[in-house]
Amino acid sequence: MKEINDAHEHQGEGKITLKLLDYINGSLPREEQWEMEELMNTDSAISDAIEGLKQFEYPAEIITIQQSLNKRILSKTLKNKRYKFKPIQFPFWIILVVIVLMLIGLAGLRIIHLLK
Amino acid sequence: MAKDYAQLNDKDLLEHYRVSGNNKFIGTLLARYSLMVLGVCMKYLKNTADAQDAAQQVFEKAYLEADKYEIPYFKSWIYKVARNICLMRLRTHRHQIEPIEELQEMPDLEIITADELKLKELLKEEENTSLHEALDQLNEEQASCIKLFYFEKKSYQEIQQTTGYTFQQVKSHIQNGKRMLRNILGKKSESHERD
Repeated sequence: MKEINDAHEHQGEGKITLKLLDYINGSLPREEQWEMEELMNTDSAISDAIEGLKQFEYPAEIITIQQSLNKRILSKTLKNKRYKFKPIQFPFWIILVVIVLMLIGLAGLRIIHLLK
Repeated sequence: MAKDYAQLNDKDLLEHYRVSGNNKFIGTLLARYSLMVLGVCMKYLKNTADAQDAAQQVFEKAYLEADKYEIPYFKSWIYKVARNICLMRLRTHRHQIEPIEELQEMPDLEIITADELKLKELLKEEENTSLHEALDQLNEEQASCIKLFYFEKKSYQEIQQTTGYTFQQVKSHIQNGKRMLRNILGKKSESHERD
């Protein structure tokens, strides 16, 4: 089971995708090229990506489009922080204590009123 | 920390993004997959402009939804988002019917099963008798591609040169051959267990 989890962890890493272009260009060392092809046999994402990238006529076109995509991602995420508005949640016991205190206060006011 | 985040793995980047809401984490993660997403979109849409447009749509969706769900493996998740967007586009624009059928029939290869790992180990043992018996049951194309790839460690390009098959044919002979091997070896071990 550990091996399966390790394999999944490896699949989850995005670092391998950075080698895709080198593979398409044929510039990966022989051993890494074989490893990429072996991965392709078990990983449909990598398999589909390579099949698609091979359809581009010129590798330079891929780089231009990738740069444009990354530029867009950068501009979209440039505003450093996306503030999230989360509703404030109080624990149940705090709400209960507040209600009890309010009831005691109301009872106190009523008693004062009656004594007058 | 400022520059270290580029070294973080997918899981950590996503976790930092969720906790801090800081866009630099999701930006790094999305840029890491831009090439893969572009390739997947190109595979299904078969047109540069459509693929680029679809890839932008994928990143838009991923940016908006990445912190809404529990995502154990970001690569698998963004791949599914990309496939779904391409499928929707194919349906909307009514391109050819062919790619849609291909998409529905495509085997789910992304989960590495215990069987797959067992086969991977077995393929390293060139002398294994049961592996050779199973290989004999494959068709000639599948058996030769598997032997060339796993035993002789030849690349797809070298197999293309040796056999005259196209890249796509080599890929499909190896993938189908491996699936057949898994079935044959699985049945064999089941009958051994019964005996």
